[in-house]
Amino acid sequence: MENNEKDNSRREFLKKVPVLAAAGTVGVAAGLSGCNSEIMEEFLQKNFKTLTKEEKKEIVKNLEKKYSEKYGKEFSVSDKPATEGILFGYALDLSRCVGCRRCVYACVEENNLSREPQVHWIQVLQMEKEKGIDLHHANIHYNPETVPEEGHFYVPVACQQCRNPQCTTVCPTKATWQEPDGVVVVDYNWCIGCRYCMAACPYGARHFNWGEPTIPAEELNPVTHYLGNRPRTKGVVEKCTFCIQRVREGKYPACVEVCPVGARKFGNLLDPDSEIRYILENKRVLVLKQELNTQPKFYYFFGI
Amino acid sequence: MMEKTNYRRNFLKNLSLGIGSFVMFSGFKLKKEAKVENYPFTGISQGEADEIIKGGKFPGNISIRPEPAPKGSKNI
Repeated sequence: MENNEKDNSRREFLKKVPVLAAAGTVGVAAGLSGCNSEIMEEFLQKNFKTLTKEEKKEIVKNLEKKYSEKYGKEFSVSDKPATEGILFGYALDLSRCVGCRRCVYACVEENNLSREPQVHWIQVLQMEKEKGIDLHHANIHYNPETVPEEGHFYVPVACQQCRNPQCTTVCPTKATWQEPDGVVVVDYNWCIGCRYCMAACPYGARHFNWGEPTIPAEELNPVTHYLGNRPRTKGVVEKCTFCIQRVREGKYPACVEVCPVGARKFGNLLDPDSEIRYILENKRVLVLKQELNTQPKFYYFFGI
Repeated sequence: MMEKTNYRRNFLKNLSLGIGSFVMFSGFKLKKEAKVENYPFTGISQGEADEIIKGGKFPGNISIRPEPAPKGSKNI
């Protein structure tokens, strides 16, 4: 009797499975048919790394059209790949930095960072000279009439573009990776916003879009790169890319150009004649949280 | 008559195979990592950096109005 009941319940369950599966399929189909083809295409788009040249061209063309219509100005979206023989590196002279935050706002403008909610890829830490480099007690909210303040020094921090990045290894969708030129990038179309990468980054260099980013249309930078400063949406993670849209065209990152005291240096680590190599070979350099073996390509040095 | 399977022996055999292949493949990985081009630099420890900071007369005489402070909190 008991066995019979058991058999019946199994049969009942098996009967329901195809019905539920069919209902699910109809539901998904109905949902998808409600979407327009553009959203569908974006949703089904392959990971950027796996796209062919033709597919990239098509996607870039569609994005340019979409952004131009949305923001009312001509947009260019580059998909320029890394150049062979280039490994980008950065050096910052701690003895020159005065903590003026010009770099922070140049980055905001260049990379189309959200004004509200505010996203800053660079944070300038003010520290007391007496305590040395003390990340825990550093202050980012200093606001005196003029800088530098007596007895203080400044440590700007952004993505350290690690050679051994932990953020990329934890990503469950492989939406973030290190390019051959050393820049760690995010495919915003593949990011699901799980924020594992943010938890893995020991430098706090990744930022989540908690809200829909807002940027005044007249302040938008229309010169973009697919893996860099193209407009992002709510729910994705973003980070410094060394201004990938600029450096792959042979320009300096915006923060390097704007620095009024020339504290920021940038170049090709594989070029023995580059300024960055000169610094690495002739100055003693410091990397943040060296003990974690993330091997940053962002070096701090003392020019004095 | 069928021979009795010696599970312990099989397990130990597989274990040694597993360890052997793990060592072999991690060797490949190490070789691959060693291929990454290197560039020379001399590192400095945080203690040494702190000494330089304490004794250093920087930043210089420049005085400049800072841009507004961020609204968010410190991330690092």
